Amino acid sequence: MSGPRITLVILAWNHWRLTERCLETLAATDLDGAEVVVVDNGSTDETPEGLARLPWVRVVRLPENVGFVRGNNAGIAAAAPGSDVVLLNNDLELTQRDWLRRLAACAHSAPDVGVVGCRLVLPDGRLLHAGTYIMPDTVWGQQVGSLERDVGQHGGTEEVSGIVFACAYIRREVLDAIGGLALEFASYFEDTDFCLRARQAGWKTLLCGEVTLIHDEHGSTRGDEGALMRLFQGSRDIFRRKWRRELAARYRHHLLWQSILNFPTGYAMSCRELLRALDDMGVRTVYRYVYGPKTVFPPVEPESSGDYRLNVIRARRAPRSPEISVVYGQGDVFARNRGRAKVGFTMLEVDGFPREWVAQANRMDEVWVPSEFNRRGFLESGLRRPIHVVPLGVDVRYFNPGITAYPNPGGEFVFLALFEWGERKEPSLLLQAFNDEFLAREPVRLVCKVINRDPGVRLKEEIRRLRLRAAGGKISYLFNLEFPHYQLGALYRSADAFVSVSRGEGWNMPLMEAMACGLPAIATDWGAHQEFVHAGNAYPLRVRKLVRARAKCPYYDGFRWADPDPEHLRFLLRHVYEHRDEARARGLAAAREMAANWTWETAAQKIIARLEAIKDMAAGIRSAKAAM
Amino acid sequence: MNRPDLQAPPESSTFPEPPGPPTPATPPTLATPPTPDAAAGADAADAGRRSDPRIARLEGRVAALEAALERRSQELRLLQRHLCPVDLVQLARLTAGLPPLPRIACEPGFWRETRELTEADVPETLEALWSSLHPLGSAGPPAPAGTPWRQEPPVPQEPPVPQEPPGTPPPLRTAAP
Repeated sequence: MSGPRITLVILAWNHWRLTERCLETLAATDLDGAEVVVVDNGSTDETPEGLARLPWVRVVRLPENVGFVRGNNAGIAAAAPGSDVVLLNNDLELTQRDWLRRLAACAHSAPDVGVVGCRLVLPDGRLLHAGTYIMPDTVWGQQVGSLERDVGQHGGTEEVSGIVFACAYIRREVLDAIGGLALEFASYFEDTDFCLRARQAGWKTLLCGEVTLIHDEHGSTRGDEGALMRLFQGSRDIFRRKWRRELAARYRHHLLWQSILNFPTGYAMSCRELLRALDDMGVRTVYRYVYGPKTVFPPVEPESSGDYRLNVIRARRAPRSPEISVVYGQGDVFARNRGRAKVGFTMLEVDGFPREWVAQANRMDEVWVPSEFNRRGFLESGLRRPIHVVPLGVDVRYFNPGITAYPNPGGEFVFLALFEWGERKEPSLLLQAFNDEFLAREPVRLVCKVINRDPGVRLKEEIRRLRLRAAGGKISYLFNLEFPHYQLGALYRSADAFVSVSRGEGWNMPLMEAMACGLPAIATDWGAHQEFVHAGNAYPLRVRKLVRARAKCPYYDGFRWADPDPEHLRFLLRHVYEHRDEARARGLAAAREMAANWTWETAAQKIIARLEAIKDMAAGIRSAKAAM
Repeated sequence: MNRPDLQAPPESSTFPEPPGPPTPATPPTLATPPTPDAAAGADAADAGRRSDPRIARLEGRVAALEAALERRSQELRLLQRHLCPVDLVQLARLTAGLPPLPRIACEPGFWRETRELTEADVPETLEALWSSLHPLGSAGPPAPAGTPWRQEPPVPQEPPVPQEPPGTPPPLRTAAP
């Protein structure tokens, strides 16, 4: 079956060298009979002569520069009747031979797909664009993944709010339904406007992450920043008048979220992901820091999160009497909840909850925990309020088997472990078992990314005390290094298997991320992560018994955690090492499960369901009171 | 500064020369050690040799050399006191004409005990880790599509960057997922 008829439209205004490079790279790709139209937007350099030398290019010559919008519309009008249209900037380099075929396949993957964009990288390799979003608070378009190092993130197909029209595949049906680019924009915002109009008409916008093009951004406007800014602001004002109300209307729920955001802690990391997912799914959250002076964690929170969307959420004004507030943090700050309906959302790594946490939880309208493990522990500790399991998740755009790997060129099989040194993570068990099980001459290695922030721990001395054998399994350490979270997928993908032998977990984010990347994982068969770990997608590590939790953390006092079996750990390490095909298959099964069931969107959906239930309950109470 | 008298032979793993006092424009050279036969009659000829200006000059040079060696020895002891093992190893490798090991603390003996986190990137860190394990290894693995395996030397890591503002206590090690 032949593909759709396609016309490529490239808008050019002077800068012939850019256009020439774009066309040269374009000609080296598979165009499958697509027609190439270059709209010369009144160029005064050698562009007309250069284009005249290319018989395979159809030229639409405009007498003067009519701007990005009208120039592209001239190209669309000149496109072959009935053809799909691909708008391309002339400062692109096309280095992927099958780019057009992949875009077309994505655009025709479902009847309701209307517009498709691709990943754009800067010439230095940084990711420039993986879709766009725009918030009604600021009406300032933002590019997803902007300026991150390219480690293969956003490599799949995903629905996005918008794309930049440096490269946009538009299906003919959409053009027939809504026309070309809106003429009220001279340049900027016309692409977001088009995607929003398409959505209003029932067409989705997708990012096709399988396609990556190089974008020498602003190649045509470089050197005139003032003009660029004037264009931008003019279009922004128009866009604001046209779309602000519509953008704000996408929020169906309002929520005060009291938590921690701008510190390198587990709650903060997951808080960021939850806020993003909730925003995507129509929950307008207002964030407030729940810790600070006179709490168990007194530091004042830094203002910037380094993330535009989170900064906007953080800057919103909090309502005086919010309808619903969620405190997401330790149970001894639940009392700071400011909502009329109060939710406490927490987790812990042992088999029960401290008395103070339970007391504060009993003053909430309901309690959320991410696992059945914690639900059971809370109830057994005396919780009398309704409790619901609201899982955490993983961002499969950054954690999946397609992320770039930097594997060990020496060919050794690599086990990876990530942990903070301490009693709970049980590092000595892992180091000892690995060192005992393997011999130095075997091509296998354990790489431990280990953090120690405890001034009372001298890590070198702790490791020396283990008396690991030089002739035993080889271990390397990445000590106190902090990687950007978005790069961690590349770390997981560079290993062959993952090991987590902790005594207890409140969720175990690294384990979930590693599994989402397709790593076969060995994990203690006890704790919150049993929610997503089972013998079909990982290697559960047997627990000998539960023992008293002894650690510096006061919250664990009086509770128990697991005592993982060292012999079984050795068996599993050896088994994974010697049954690599089986292990690989199990890892890939894990990746499929994580992508299907354990995303942040899934977590946000569960939260939204609870918000609706709470509102319904409140409405029911109000109407009952009114009837009395 | 060129002091051939103190330079190690190429295969040696001694340390590079630290800065020292100025040396004469024509550096002294080591005399050939006396042979056993020549040494046998040394006592008898001692007095006569002292009067030989050539012998006196040689003895002066030996004394200067001994002083230089003593100074050098002190410098090395100083280095050992103040440099971490990894820096000493790097010095030894450099002076032996070997490439330095990547600056990555992948073995306990090679890291500084610290509670501060150092910002790092995954690609360079792994490249440095693998290079340190296989320093004489050949090219890396096939590059995944779209992402070249970078072969350039690893970038030295930035100095440690504290993660919390001064005075911030360590994060609670409690319910972090």
